[in-house]
Amino acid sequence: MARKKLSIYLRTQRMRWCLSQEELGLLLGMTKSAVSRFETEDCPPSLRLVIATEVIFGAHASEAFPALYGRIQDEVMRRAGKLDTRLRKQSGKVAERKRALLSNMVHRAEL
Amino acid sequence: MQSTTHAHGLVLGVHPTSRGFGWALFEGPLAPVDWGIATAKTGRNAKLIARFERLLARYEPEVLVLETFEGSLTRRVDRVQRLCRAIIHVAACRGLTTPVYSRAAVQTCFASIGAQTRHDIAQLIAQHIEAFRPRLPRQRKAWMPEDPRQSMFDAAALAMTHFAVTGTDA
Repeated sequence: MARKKLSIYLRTQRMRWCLSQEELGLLLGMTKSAVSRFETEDCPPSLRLVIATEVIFGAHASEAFPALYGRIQDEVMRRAGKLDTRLRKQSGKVAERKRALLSNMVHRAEL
Repeated sequence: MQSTTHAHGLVLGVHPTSRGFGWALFEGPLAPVDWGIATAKTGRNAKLIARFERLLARYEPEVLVLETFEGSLTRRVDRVQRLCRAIIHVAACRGLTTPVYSRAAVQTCFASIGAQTRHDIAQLIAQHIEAFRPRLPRQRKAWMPEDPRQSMFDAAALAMTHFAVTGTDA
């Protein structure tokens, strides 16, 4: 059975380091109730929260916010598909370099 | 509160005590997601069931694991037995599978790696799961009351037993 993940691991990270919501709020520069709203997904994670979480816990966005990361990744990959179609009409080293980037993106997404 | 739509496959271990229940939620044998202790002083079972329902609504686990609470080998008081039955009823209504393991089954599972008593098992869990280490209770003497944190380790042991029994062992 494929085990799906939670969509946000902020509470797990906080609990892992025995921090209270108030203490994490102090580190994030927000109130205890704001931390609670993010943990319970009442609020979508902000860019500031995602970066601060990486600074505090060393957790990459794909680990701490897998649902958000997955959603953005899907959107970017769809656009990458469009760019790839456009690049097929082009030749030369510059186009080849761009295709290499798209190929790297696909490779990273599959990991 | 929004429900977590990606939480299928989570295993929730619950261990009721005379004060409430300890719980531990796992997404893999050594991968706890959330854990804690729920207590209530008055109107215990109603409050504890409400707390349990909030847990289910938030995480939508697939499996609820409990320890045997009925029969001659258990010494659970009536209130705790009623709480366990209610917990199973609520979980079953939400479509969770609700395996129940005896304490002997949990002990057998951990005996192969050298843990026999509940404290040994808690120590072993704390050894393997760093996040649980600061919450390890002191070894209980006969005259001491049980530390509420022990119930959280008991819940974790139940979830880990389930992973071992179903072949998702680490």
